[in-house]
Amino acid sequence: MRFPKITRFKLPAVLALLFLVLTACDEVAFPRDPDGTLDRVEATGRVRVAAVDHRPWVIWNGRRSPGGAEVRLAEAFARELGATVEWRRASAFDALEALKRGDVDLAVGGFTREEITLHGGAASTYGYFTEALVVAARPGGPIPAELDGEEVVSPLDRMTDSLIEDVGGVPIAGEAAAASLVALPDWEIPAHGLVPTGIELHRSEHVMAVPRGENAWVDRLERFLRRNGHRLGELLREEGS
Amino acid sequence: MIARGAFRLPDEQEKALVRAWRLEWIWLGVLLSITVAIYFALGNSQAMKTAWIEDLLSFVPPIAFLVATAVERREPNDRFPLGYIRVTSIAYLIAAVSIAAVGLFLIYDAAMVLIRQEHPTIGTVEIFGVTFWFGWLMIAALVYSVVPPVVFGRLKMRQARPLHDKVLWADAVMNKADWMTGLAAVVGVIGIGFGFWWADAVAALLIALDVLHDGFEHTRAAIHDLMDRVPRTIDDKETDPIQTCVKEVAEALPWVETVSVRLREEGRFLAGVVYVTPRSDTVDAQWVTEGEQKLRDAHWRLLRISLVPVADLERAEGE
Repeated sequence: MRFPKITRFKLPAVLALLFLVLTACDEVAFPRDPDGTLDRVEATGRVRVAAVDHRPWVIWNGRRSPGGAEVRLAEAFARELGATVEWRRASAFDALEALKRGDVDLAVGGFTREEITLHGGAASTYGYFTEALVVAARPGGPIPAELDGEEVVSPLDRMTDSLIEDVGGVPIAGEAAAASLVALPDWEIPAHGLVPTGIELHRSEHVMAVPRGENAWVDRLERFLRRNGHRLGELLREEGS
Repeated sequence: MIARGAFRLPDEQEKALVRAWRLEWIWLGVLLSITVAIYFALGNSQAMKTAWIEDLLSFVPPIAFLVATAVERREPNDRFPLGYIRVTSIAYLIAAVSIAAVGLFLIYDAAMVLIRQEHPTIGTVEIFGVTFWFGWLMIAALVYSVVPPVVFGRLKMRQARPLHDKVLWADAVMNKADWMTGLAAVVGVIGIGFGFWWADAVAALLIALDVLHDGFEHTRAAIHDLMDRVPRTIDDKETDPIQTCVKEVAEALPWVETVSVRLREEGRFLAGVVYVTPRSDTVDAQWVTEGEQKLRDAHWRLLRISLVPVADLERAEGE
């Protein structure tokens, strides 16, 4: 059995040097894309983005380009690269399939990490925005610490109904404006003039979807999101109102 | 003829065994810490699964060693009149198969990545406000996982030789597999960084072939040991020279004319029959007992040697 000497002393030194060279010099592109997405976007000035209708993340109003909070983020990212966005309207499944085939460079539309993992053909960015589905109350009214048969307005879907039942509430249909307790995403609370109760129903990590293995592209996008992703809550409120 | 009662090892071997025990217990702790480090450094679920299965298999040889050395010491009894010393041979087989399993698993995993053309995605990570490529963190964890097996592998081999402990030897071979796959993964991650999506899988595949080869060789050696093959040196490179020594000691007995030696491995020990033709027509039982004692004194590994006087060697061998 041979134990080459390099593993003992030289390897960490070589790696440390490589790390310094590759992180310090901007001219050395690292990491790189196997399919050259970042280079192509910068060379052609075009980003192909699939946008999935999902208010207020992505809003298609019959026009040629969509609006919405994530659409504005994607456009800001494209501007940073000196590129313009070529929008494609798609369902969530078609958007991820397009990424898998390499037909688009990015997909937005309020994706959660689970959705991307489940599909398996695309990669996700880090979870740059955490959305909590919470129960909010009217200010001045009673704020329950936990639910015990209280009625909660559930304006969203059946999924929310069952989450409300899980914590002991009774889901009812109705307008958020009239109710004393409402289930809604945490970023919507200020817009409705409500106060949080501290009761959380669900938590999801929102990501953007990218082609698998395009590591320079992901790297660039994630660096952008780490600087600008925190604006999303504000953008969602603007677009939602 | 056959000594009953638990065996006794010479001082040097006793000390080596104690050191080996200590080494394996510490190693189990280190292995656990490596498993945890890899767990936190590999967010990706598929890579995670691979590292996990490999780590679990790495636990097999050290545990086999600790169990076998404890069982081996038991006194012979009515159910096991020859004692428990062969448990070491079985532990060796288990350790060898686990090495082969690591090789097979790595080959399967790397091949699937290449066949499905899965491009590994490695994003960024933010630590203390600094954003950098996640690959660097993976490399750091991998380098940490490479150093201990190199060190421990060497230490284990140093103890395995005087003890003639093939389980310990196999565990050192598993350590070689550990650090080589770790090193291959470092090369693979750097390759991915340079835009070669297949780098990790190809590096893993090359190492996996080497691991499988080791696993296969040791499994074969372990099976052959259980089939009473002629004893070989611990590295399986040549026939154990101890047999020549046995022949010489037997031939030096004043009443012995010709000698034929049949030895096999029983764990770390050797057992077997030494057929001799006496110079005279009659043999004193006392001579045989003294001759066997001389053989046992010649080397600590000669634990169960029977000296059998026969009139005709060829007829004895043709039995």
